[in-house]
Amino acid sequence: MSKIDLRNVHVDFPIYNANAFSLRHSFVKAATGGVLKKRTENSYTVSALKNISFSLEPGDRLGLIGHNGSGKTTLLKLLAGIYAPTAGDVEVVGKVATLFDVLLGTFEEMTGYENLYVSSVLRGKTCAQAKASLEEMGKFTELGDYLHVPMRTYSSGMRLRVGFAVSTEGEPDILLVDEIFGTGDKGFVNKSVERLTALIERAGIFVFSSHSEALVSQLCNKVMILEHGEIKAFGETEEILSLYRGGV
Amino acid sequence: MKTIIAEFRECVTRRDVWLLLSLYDIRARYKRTVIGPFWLTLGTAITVLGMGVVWSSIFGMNITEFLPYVAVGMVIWTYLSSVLNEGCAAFSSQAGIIHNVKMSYFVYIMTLIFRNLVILLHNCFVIVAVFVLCGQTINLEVLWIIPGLILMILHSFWVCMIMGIVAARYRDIASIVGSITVLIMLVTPIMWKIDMLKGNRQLIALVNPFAHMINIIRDPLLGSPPSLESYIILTGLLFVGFSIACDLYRRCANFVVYWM
Repeated sequence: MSKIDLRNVHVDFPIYNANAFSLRHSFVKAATGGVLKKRTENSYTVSALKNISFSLEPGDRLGLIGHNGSGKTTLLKLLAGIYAPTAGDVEVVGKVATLFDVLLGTFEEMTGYENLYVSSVLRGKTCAQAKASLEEMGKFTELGDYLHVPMRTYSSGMRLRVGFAVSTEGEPDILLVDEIFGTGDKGFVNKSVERLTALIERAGIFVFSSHSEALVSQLCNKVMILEHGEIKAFGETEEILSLYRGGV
Repeated sequence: MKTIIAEFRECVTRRDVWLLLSLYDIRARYKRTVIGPFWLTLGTAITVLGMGVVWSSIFGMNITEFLPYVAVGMVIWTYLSSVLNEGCAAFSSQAGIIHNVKMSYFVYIMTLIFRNLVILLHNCFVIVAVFVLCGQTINLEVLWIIPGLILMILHSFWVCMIMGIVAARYRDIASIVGSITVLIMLVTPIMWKIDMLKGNRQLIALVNPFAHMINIIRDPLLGSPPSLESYIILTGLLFVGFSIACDLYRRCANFVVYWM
């Protein structure tokens, strides 16, 4: 049984920087991003998320849309338990799988297979389980013999394939995916969407951040618009997307 | 306290992660080299040999007696200084993983410790070689290295907890630690013996926890029982260290991710 429940959640980032003062005005006036507050002489707080309350139930597929820096990734990382809320309550029940930045956490000198192996152990498998699913994951990437080549030679699209294969292996209750399809080719995006759809049908909750309205309306039954770390709108996909197109 | 015990448990249940990560770290570091991690062994061997030859002559000591002493001291010191220095990046060096997967930070500490234990094992070849060459024998006292090594690992753990958190927040710490490491080595009895110090200057070695740490492993390897005094001091320090580390961890662990 999966469940996500957030009540009045705030996330404030401290930013420590000896030269922060001179940058203050240009930052505050920026159109995008959260709200910067001065803390002390050389530290700032970014209010990345403000007063976020919502809940999701099994079967919910939520699309997050908004400007760069509006808090989409922060919200996903909060749901993953990577960020702790500064205030408020976060309740996430279920086994969580994440696909955030595919470029992070890889061993550049190791082969694709070795990275598939270590990544799946990192994501909660034992060594034996990871070994057992290695072939299946390798097949999904369609990288063939490239999987025997060091990761440092991979293009970002190939990395995406490796990352996607690992994070969608298994049966997560909650799947969190950050804007990642930018570098995938069309064939792979279609295949991924297929795999995601199958996963979503089996698993409970899916949260997806994207700038692609088409993907969001294809995959999600709910949409949330974030702006400056606040929920601007939240509801059924069609309704919210038409609001979004109207310039909210 | 409850969460900290739960995190220790997570660290045990997810041992596959730190076992694999540390081995991959070492393999990745020496990929495409011919002798791989034995570069570490070779490096240590050269250092020990060089220091042994020069300093035994300076002190007018028999090299077959002095070389085993330096070899053991140097190998343990290599471990201690690596843990101290790498401890400053215990968490920040794993930022890529921390930003992507939710796991107890203790897993990253165990990765660091286990990686350095594997390196220590490679360096043990130097000790074996020097002992054979110098005709140094071992006796039953050698069993004392087991509690000694356990104590060393426990100390490594709290040091990494503190350094990992503090150095993630204050970036100068890693540089400070790096620059005092050589000083610590020079004031620790590795290349010299405590009884070479005159009078109350022996206090330098007495208040130096690194000296005690090295003593409780080096003495039994060289055939004499470790001093009770070292054990008392190190056990006391262990409790103090863990209390501070757990308190700091309880208050700060949630913020570490924001500092990276």
